[in-house]
Amino acid sequence: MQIYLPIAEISANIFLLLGLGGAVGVLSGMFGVGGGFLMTPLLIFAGIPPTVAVATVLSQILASSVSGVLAHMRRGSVDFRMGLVLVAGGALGAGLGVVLFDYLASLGQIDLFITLSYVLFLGTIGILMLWESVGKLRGTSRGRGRGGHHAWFHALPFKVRFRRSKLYMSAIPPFVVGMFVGVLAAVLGVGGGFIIVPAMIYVLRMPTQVVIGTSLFQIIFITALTSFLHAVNSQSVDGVLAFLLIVGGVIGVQFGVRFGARLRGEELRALLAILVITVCGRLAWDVVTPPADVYSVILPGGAP
Amino acid sequence: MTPRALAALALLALFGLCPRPAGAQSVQADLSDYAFAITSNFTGASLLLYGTVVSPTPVPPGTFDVVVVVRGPPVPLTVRRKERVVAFWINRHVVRFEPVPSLYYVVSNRPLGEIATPSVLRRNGIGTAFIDPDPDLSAGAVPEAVDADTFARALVRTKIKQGLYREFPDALFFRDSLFRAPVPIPANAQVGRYQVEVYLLREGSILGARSMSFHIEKTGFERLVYDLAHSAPVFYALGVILMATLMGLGGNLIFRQR
Repeated sequence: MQIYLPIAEISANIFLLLGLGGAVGVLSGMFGVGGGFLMTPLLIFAGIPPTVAVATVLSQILASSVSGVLAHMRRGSVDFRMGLVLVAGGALGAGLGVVLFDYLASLGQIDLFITLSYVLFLGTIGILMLWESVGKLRGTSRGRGRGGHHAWFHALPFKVRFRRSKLYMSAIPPFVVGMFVGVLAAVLGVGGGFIIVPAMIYVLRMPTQVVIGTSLFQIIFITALTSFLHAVNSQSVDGVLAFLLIVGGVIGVQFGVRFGARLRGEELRALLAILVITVCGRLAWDVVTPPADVYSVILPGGAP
Repeated sequence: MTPRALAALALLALFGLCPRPAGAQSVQADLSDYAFAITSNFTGASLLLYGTVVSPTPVPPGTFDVVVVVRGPPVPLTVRRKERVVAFWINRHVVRFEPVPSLYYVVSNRPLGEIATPSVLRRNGIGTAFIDPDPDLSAGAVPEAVDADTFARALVRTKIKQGLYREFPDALFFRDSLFRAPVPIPANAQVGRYQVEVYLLREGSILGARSMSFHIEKTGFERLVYDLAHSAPVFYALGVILMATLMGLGGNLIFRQR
């Protein structure tokens, strides 16, 4: 069954959109990532103009995150205090990121810079996560014990008790992590779930289950802000497309939370690592192999 | 065919029989519809162009050729080219073009190559081979290293691949001096005004032409969403965010009861 999308100005299959929303929702609930990295290219492949795809996916992620956070709240796995510190840092970082983006754009070759740093970043994170989690799963990992391990930043001031995360630490490290992710999100144009989830696990040493709920919590703020900006600046948010993706997404995310809760932290981290490496591999493949057609046609203002 | 179209056809047939000054051959044509409404179940439509060849003296069938050119509302497009830098393929050069038709269909009674010479076709912009997008020079000249011509050809090639630039060489049918040409309107047709040119040819030269237009527009809910997004973006943005939040809450409530 086809439905016409008024902003995208094409018609698409309803069930395809519901299914896409559902599948990406499952990933959001399980891993605490937005899923824009998967959804955006799939929508573009389905014929939706890139600018509309990028802007509309944000509102779907917003809905999935609200739904997912509520599901996680029932399990007590959202650290609101930590989430707010991350959001505060993220807001500052996003502002800095926009300035940095403009600077890089003025130097030229920003495309290559973005792709390479993204591949490098995801690749490193993915491999480290896989190494660690597989080691844990086999029970062969030595050292690097989680919890009770005091890093240098534990000596910093502004100590706050993050009860859900079972941490008593300075608010500065999570603020800096949030800021760093905000910069990357603005420069690389990604939601940052992929970066903030591993950062919370390995840098802040939060329990994996709490990380997922908290990541979804901060994604709510980021996507609400960015989808607002897209809708006002480029008028490229398609309400009908968003509605269909959301219907699929809010259902999918509930299943995702359930699947995720059945898995152990190490298993979740290993799966997420595989996902990250797959995305990284795909990006690297795209940029290294000769394209089928070196020319591409875009509408004005249409980002890839 | 709508009753109106039939009535018009009958009128045209009468018109065709009327005596006219010798040597003045011309073409009359009309469309089955002037407006297409895009609703939520829009998956494309079809338009019928019909008309007649007006000739003072009877001519044997197969004397005339008729070519119909449909042009969609113009859009400015940008073409990028990937190049190899060290080991990586990245978008390197970009050429912006002056607005080109968003859709370009040519319907004729036989292949264009048999109807007229390339120079006649080129002069009148008939045929996908003769679409020649001009680079937009408002932001400065295209650099020497960039061959704008190959970018223009890539643009046309992409449009052909998308099915938006197309020739229908055997889709116009004659019945004595009457002709009809079905014109498909694809689901991804741009909203706006479409120009239609009808050319009458004999032995490769153009005897007459007619132009008309129709438009495609959104109606009802689709129109409302589109207008709101453009005229009240802040309100629309807040609406979408509210919808997303409420649906997120709703999805959670449904699952909590299980």
